[in-house]
Amino acid sequence: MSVRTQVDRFAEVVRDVVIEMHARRMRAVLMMTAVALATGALVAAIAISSVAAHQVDADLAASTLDVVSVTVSGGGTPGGGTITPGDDPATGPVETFPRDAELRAENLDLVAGAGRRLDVTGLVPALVSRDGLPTDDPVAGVSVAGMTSGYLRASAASVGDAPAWMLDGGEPVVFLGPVAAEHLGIPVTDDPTGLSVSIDGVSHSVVGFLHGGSVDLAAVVAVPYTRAVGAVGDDRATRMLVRVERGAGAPISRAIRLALRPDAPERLTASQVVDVNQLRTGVTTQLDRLAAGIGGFLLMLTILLIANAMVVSVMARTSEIGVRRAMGASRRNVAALFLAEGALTGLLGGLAGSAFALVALVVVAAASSWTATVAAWWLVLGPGVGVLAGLISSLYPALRAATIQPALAVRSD
Amino acid sequence: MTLLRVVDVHKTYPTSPPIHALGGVDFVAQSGERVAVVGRSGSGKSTFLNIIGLLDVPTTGSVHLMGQDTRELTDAGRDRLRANSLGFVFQENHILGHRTVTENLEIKLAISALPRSSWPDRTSEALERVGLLHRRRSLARLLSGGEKQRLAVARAVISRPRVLLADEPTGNLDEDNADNILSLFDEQAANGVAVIVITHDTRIARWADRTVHLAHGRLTEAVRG
Repeated sequence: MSVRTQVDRFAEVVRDVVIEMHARRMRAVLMMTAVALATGALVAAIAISSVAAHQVDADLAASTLDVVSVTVSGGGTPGGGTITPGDDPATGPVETFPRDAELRAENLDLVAGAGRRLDVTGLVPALVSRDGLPTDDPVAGVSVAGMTSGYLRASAASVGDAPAWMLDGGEPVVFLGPVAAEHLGIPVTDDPTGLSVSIDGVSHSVVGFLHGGSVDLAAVVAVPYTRAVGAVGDDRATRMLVRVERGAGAPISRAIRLALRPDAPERLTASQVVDVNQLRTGVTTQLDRLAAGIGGFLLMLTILLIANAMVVSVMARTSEIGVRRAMGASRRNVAALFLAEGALTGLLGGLAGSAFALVALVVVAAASSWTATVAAWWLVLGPGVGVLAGLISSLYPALRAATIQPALAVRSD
Repeated sequence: MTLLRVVDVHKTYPTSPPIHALGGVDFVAQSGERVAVVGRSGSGKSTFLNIIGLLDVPTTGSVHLMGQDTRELTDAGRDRLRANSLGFVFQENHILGHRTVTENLEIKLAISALPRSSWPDRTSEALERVGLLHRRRSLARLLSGGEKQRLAVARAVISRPRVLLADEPTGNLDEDNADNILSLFDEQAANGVAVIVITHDTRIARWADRTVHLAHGRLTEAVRG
């Protein structure tokens, strides 16, 4: 056979196929769509998995996070003294953190704020009472902590228009958290002039109130950091909070000690703060999206495959449909037949699918030494989705069957 | 009693150019009457069958079945009338081979919405009449050609229609089987059913009580069979 003849025959075959496909355009479209979805599902599965993996990785990085905590290596022990006027911060307490720790930390790139905090309550006596009342009648449920203004920035807490800079000095002033204010009977007001509290018998003027923040300051009585160090005697229990750009926790935690104590970085310990719940939520969310994305794609494919098979079935049963209509079946009867077939196919397929999925889950979990857990609603999901998919996929075939002209159909043979 | 009356029916198919299949047909069928409608291919026989069988609607004119003017009916109304008053037998028997003999009959019973409690008696009666009671559980595809056509007759009469329409019912059968089918039609006619057979078989024309000719979409009365 000559090449030309072969080409001609091939061309004739192609022409024959094109005519057939053109004559049954919807069927051809359905089949092509099914193939497209099948191949698309494979590519999508690969792509979605890759994207999900990247996202999980990003979430892991993000969760570790935007806060670094710096403490004195070896921790602190209770010091001596109370918060009293007259201590000279310059010569008094022993401090590991430099005086300009905030400045040094905030000079680092990617650092949004830094500040020190020293919790006095628990280290030394710090009895707080409403000014004018005896100190042997202190208020319970409040704690005293010294902090710098940088700590407020790092914790994103706010004092409104109050002079936060006063925390960086040595004056006997306090900022109150709302719960502390309530316990002390101090009204939260924009003008606290004249309001004061007593800490170990020493009067401290109320200059502002604490609001918000990523740490709980509600029951805190905040005093200037240097007064707290003076009361405790050292800063071994001090914790510096450093807020960094998202995802910069790791590099900052490596650099911050050198920035604060270039002479002896080993005297400080920096650690990233990990929000475990956020991490769990992030990973779970991405995995759920991955499963939903692939599952949704496969479900669409299934619907189209069933629809295509049912269209073929309708075409093959044209004469039967014509005879049914001749016997008196209505269009609705005919449509119901195919809808019911779709729903039943979906139900049985869904039941089988759920059973198969459970077996697969147990096998995979056993092989991977995982703990297999099954939610009761999963057992309903398969048949439920199956029925829905079956009904959706049989809509077009049912409509097509119902519109078959019986007069033509009974002569189709 | 007049069971079927066709008045000045025209049917034109909107093709390009239009096909005038029927051009003013008048027809009447009485209770118990056997009528043969003969004509060459393309004469409009199938169109006529579809019109009187309520499978299609005339372009103009009217069809009255059991006294009911079918122009007044909705699609659902025509479906119901077809289910309860008409029976069809086609040249291709259109039996569902993958179902049993009984299941084939039950399709018609279900469509006619007859009480399920009556089904066993009706199927037995219908199969008895066509001589297939002993094959009630057989798969229909295992029947011979003649048996399948007899099953088609049983399916057509199981709901006790008043008018039986047959389109070339003996076209694929040998002489013996054809005679069997005609005998079954005789039984129906004896029970008051109007039997209308579309055919170009002259033997059926002789068998019928009355023969009408369709030619170029027009009906003319012919000699009595």
